[in-house]
Amino acid sequence: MRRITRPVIALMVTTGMVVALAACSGGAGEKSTAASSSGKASGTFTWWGWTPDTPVAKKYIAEFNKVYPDIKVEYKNYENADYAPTMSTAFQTGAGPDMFDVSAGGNVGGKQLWGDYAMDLTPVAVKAMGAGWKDKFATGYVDELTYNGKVVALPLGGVAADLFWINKDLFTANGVSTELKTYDALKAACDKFAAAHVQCFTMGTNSTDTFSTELLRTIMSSLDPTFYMKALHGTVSWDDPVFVKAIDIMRNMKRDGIISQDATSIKQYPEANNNFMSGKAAIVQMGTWYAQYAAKASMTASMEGAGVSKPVPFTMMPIVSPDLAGKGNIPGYVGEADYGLAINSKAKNVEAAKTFLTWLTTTKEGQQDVANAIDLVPALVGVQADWKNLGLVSPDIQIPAFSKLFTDAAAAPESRNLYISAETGNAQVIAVQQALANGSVSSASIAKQAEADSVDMPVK
Amino acid sequence: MATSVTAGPNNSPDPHAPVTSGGGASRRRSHRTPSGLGWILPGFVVSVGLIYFCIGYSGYISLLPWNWRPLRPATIEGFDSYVRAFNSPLFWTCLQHTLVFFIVAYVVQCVMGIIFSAMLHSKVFGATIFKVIIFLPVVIAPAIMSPVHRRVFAVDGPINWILQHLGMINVDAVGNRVWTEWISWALTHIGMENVTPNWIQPSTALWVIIAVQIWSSIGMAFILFYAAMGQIDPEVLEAARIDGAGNIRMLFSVVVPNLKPTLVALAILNAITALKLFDFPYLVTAGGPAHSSEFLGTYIYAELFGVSSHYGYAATLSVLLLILALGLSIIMSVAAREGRPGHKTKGVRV
Amino acid sequence: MFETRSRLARVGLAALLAVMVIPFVIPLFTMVQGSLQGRGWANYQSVIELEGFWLYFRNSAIISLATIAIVYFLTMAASFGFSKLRIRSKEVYFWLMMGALTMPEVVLLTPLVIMASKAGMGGTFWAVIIPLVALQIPFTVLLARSYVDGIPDALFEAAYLDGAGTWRQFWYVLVPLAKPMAVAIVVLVLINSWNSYLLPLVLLGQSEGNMVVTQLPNSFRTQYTDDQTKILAGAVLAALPEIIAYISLQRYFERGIAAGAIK
Repeated sequence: MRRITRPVIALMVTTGMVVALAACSGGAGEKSTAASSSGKASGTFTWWGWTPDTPVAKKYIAEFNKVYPDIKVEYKNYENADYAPTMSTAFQTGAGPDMFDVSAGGNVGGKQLWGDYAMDLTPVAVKAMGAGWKDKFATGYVDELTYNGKVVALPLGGVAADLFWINKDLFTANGVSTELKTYDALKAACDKFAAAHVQCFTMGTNSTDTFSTELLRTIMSSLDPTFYMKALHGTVSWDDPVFVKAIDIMRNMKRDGIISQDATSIKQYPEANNNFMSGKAAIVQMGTWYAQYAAKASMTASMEGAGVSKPVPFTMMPIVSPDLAGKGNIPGYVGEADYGLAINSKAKNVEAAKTFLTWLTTTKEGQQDVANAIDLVPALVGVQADWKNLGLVSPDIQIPAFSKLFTDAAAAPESRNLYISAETGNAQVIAVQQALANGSVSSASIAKQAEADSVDMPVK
Repeated sequence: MATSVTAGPNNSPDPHAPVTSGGGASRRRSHRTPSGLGWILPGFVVSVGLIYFCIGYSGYISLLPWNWRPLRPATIEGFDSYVRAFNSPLFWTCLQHTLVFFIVAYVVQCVMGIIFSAMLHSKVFGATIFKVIIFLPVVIAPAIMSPVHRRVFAVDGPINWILQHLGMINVDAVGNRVWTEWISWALTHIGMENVTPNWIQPSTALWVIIAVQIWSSIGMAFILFYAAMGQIDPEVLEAARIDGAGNIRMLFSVVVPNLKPTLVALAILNAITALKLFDFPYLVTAGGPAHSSEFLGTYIYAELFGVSSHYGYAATLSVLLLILALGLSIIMSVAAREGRPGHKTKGVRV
Repeated sequence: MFETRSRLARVGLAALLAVMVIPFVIPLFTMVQGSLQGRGWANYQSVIELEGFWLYFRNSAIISLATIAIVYFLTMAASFGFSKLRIRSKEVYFWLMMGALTMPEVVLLTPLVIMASKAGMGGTFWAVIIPLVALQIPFTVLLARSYVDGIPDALFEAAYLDGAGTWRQFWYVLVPLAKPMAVAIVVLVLINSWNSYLLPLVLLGQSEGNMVVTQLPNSFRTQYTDDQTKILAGAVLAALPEIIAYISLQRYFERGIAAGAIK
């Protein structure tokens, strides 16, 4: 007995030491945030998001500080893939930010992931915009950011996808028409590019993000415009001739040299993006957010990041997707609120955060800054980007095209990620990867697998 | 630190204390050897305590619903998660990849490790430089090297550049890499016509990861073999030489048998690495494409933070991984007991 | 090992080795080459001018040094205890520790996160240091124990006869004699703690000034652009301290491993 107590004492002492060491924690722990005094909001608060890029956020904050000089905003940008682990950990350890991004769906910032941690912003919206506030935002944006009856975020801006971007200078230089309405027209264009040693359509599928699946969606929409949403809701199964045919068409695109060889081994960001920005490839499928690189300054930065030593900005233009299935259906845009800003229900400096959120999402000035970044479709109705003063490379042709794009995007009839569950998104990624790999897996079995791995989201 | 806690019954040095009867000198000594418990406890508590606590916690979570996340009510459901894991083809794929990885990595490390150390034990110009080059990959973090490896194996990267200049690859107009005639012929004949020079593809992604991992760990194997070879008595080598053994013969009959403990140690290290593998498969190929380079580590990570948040399922996978690891430590104990000298230490006196 | 009597043989062997180490060099070469594309040396400038650049290195240094110091002391103590002192059911303790050796980091993530939050340590360095220490100790004790086994008991006897108690025997006999092994342990723990990516990523979070060197390349990954050239420049800079440290300690490291390799 006597011999046992000594080890026990030893155990308790050493455990005590470990805990004591833990208690006097060192290192740069959490940031100190000034508590807000009653009355005018002031102090510092933290804002975390996977978007916008830090320079863009800094611009918003600078404009905000012209009106509210006493509030300091600390923005931290996270890569898409790192946002979820960081937020998950932070919320559980109580070290979450005051304000954070939330999106309509998807596995990065989806409201189903983070909605539980946010406070209801209805009072904030009503205070800022009055009773009919919902209608002041673009159609559907607020509902897309509502989770379990709670308005978890106010929309900052919207996005639309399923369109293509082309390097107009490359088209002109090689005598390729930009009227790409059919599969054959696209193929002919690619043949011309091949002869000139230019890659045609660049895409990257080797990651978990869902950019690559949007091509598959575009193809399905050109086969049958109602199929995709029905499959998302579970009304039809993914194991369906439409899906199988879409996979076949994608395989044909690779076989016919439209999609280049490296599609399975590169990611959309950075490699496919770099291919387009460095002028190696002529076409890439991106959404409305890509417009932000059309200005001289941002394009130069992107080109340098892509490894071009003496970048000369080129003219990039959006075009509607071709009718890839040949059934006469032109794939339309899909769009929704890209993301909104939410406030942590355990936020330290709530008033300051509310002030910033209100300014950026509900006022014309804030939304004008958002619009001018040409990353988002403005959420507030009636706000348009100040196209003439954005430093576009070729304003004469770009301004009409971009205005039309953004107007149409705000009215996009079909949602983008709202009804795509994380499992379905991932199943589609896998399907695309298998489709583009050299072919031992049949299209039919790919479709079957996709159906097995998907989780439907019924209309709420 | 632990000084105050080492109070053993015989701490006060008293050479004139009466000697207990019976036994020889060693028996007497062991009676008066102080307790080492206090000495091992801090290390023990920190490592075992922390890790086994995490294990227990994971075990608890694994019994919750498979799609449990924090903030949801925690009700014990039982072993449903485990059934789900066993029925999941991805789980078995991961295990298969782990096994393939282990076998290939181990064999290559041993073979090349022995060859390199043999070569570097001979008089050769610039031995130190070679040793540094070989070990350098071990030193650099996988997280740092991953973007580089993506480039190395890219379609337009250095590996393909070398293959091109060896006449195995042609580059077409748009920069696609295709095999030359004779390589295509050869590949088709062994049923590998799906393999293109686009290395991160389902048919070769696993091999890319294996290659990258070998690159970063072979230096460790080399150092261990080099050290072990240095312990071999030069007289034995001389004797073998005099008996007329050639280089190769000497390697196999004299050198290798002496390396057995290192071979065992490397087997253990590689098995542990194979199970733990995360950094490279996650950062270089993202477990893909299409799960072709998925390992248990990346699978668990995806279930926690990736595709969706299934903490319960992730915990289940962790527990299963753990059971595998425990099986390994049993094998470890058998192997190490056979090779470990020094059972006979008598301890210190106080 | 191999007979290399003639000059030719020596040169030939060196040439053969040079060819064989080409695969080792390719990634390193690619890394440097890629970092110089685009704007060339200006990429390095951009990386160094990154806000809080030195903080990455400071944080990694703090974490590594703390881990090394704690591991060193706990390992020396534990190997002393296992090898030279009396413990009832010693092997049980030992094999429990070895069992912990086989645990992968990713398995520990969730419980660590919850534990860190309950202990109020989320986001602090200790949340990373303690798990790192816990993960290193089984392996270092394994190495150190067999090394200490090789130190003759007679030395401790002699110290005892000179009137040394247990602590003095540890401090004045074991520690000096264990220096080669200590260097090996320092290098190994340095590598593992400096290179740690997943644990800091999840447990430290990514707030300003709170990141380690393995996350430096991530700073150049924004939502839509990965500035590849700067990522690689950051990678080169992040790898440099370790490379320099290894090259300086290389000789001692070899000796330490050799001394402990008599297994």
